[in-house]
Amino acid sequence: MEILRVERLKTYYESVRGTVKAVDDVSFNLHKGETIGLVGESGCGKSTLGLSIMRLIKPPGRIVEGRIVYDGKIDLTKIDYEELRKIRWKEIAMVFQGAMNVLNPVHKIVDQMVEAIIFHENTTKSEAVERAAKMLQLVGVPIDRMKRYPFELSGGMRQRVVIAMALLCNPKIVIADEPTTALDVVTQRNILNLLVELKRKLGLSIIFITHDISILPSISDRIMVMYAGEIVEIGDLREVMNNPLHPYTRGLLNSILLPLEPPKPFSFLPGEPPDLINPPSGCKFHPRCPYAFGKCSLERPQLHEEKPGHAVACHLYR
Amino acid sequence: METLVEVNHLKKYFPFRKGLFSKGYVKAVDDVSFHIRKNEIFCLAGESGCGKTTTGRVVLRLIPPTSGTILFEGKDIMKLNKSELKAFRRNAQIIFQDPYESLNPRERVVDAVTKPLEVHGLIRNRRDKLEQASQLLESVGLTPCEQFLDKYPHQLSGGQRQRVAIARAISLKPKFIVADEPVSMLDLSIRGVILKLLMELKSKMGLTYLFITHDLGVAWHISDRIAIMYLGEIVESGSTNDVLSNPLHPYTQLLISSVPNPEKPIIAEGGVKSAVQLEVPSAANPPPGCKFHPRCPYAFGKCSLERPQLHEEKPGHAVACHLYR
Repeated sequence: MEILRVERLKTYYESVRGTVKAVDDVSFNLHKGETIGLVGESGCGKSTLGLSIMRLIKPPGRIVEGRIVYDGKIDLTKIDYEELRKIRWKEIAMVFQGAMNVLNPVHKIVDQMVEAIIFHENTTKSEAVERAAKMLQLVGVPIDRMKRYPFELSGGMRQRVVIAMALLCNPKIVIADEPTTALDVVTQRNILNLLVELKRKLGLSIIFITHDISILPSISDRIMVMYAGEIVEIGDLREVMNNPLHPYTRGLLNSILLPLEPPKPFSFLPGEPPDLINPPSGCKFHPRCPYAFGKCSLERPQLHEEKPGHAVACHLYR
Repeated sequence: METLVEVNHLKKYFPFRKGLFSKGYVKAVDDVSFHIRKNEIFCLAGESGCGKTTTGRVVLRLIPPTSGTILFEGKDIMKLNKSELKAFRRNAQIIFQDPYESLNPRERVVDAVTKPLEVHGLIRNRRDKLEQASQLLESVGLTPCEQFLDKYPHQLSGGQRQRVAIARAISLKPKFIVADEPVSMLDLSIRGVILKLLMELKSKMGLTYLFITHDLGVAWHISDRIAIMYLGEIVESGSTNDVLSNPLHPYTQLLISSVPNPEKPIIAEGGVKSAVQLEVPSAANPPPGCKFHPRCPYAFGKCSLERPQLHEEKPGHAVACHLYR
């Protein structure tokens, strides 16, 4: 069942040099209890997409066009602040990148959590403390850490606290923006484990944003690949990993270096990610694409279902 | 093969204030020994805070060691006279992790890449400078170079900036380069091209690298030998092939099994483990004995009491763990 639908969303930033089309005509849906892995390189618009869904885009950015439909009825792009307050954190929550910058360094963990609960719900302080404690327990943070300051915790522990804070008001959807990026591999594995476990226990739907395609199989049910503000490929995890259609997705998968695999030449995509103020015409990937032909620089390819449950935006198909 | 760099019992402690009167030390590097052979890529791998970056900086004499010796071409780098030190500075260079911070934002590319030449008085005039800069940019693949000479760092992409940083590092035709996580800030799709460039420069210029990384995939594909660090100590070292395909230390085993592998996704073991046992202890207050013992699944009595010494378990493959010997 669908819990969130994004339709033809455009989020642009105005700058002195021109308009940055960070999210440029993006459509997808998220099912109940599903994790979508949203992967793309820096500056491709993946965080902007997450922030748009949270309605956290600040000027000079704005949602220009499109709809974000929550639970089949509420268009998040249209509602006012009062209605938004009922949805943000309570229905849709976000786990931000960089746990150190999210937590307030001068307040104890417990105080920050209690403040968040009381801001959103009518509860007493002791009830809020109890709930904060429960939530910390759920994410594997020992209770005695509650009275500590953020800097007294390790990176992994802080990330767990940030996850606990996102879950305080029992949201249905969690948008996790690079929650493991700054962490070491061992800690990363533990946080991924935790998210899978929480999803199962709480029935969450998750949009997992990352630049690292190699961690997606550990967490997601579907994969969505973003390039220069557009979704270029979306499909079931296995299908996309085993049978990537878009040349960009293939390039990304080929670039992964794994220990113990047979030696291979270093694989990479030529050129650099494009400037989103002046993106290339037609397919934005065509200057870097090894298969580009005439049509690619002229016409923007539309995302279409190439196989059941696997869509691609590329002129090589169809 | 000839040894270029030899590090013996290196220690680097950073003091911090514990209380009003007492002082504590973060033992960033705690009795580390290794050697780097000519024309090889030697990799220091480990998680953040394990002391790999500090080791790289001490080896270049960017910061002084607390104790221990570093020999470069057989000479103790802390005992060089003025002209020897100048030669060492020419021969040993560094590439930093973050090309957004390692380049002066107010310096044009042409000035950035020729700065070391200028410092060493190797530039005759303005025309010479332009020529040398163009050559350097060409050798790192920034072509046509006229397009890049007058640009400022903010006008370049991350990959281009890292190429400028590499051009600057090779400008003095060094013998030895410390590459400190040179690709970890870069997007996956351009990581390969920078690694390829580093390999090409190595064979073209006969370079030797100390390659610092947390990414075992990169280490596997690029290095000849590897040392795994944990909380300031080397816990395992040997040829990259031996260490990664047949890891002896439980920590190396844990690291390898934690690398995300698209073909073998991590499967949640069920139940949220308490994060405490999973945490890396603080370097300011490391556990006694083997520093890994609180996280080690095989720890036994001796492990919390006695620090295991790095010893050769197989020819060329050393480990510091009480499970062996």
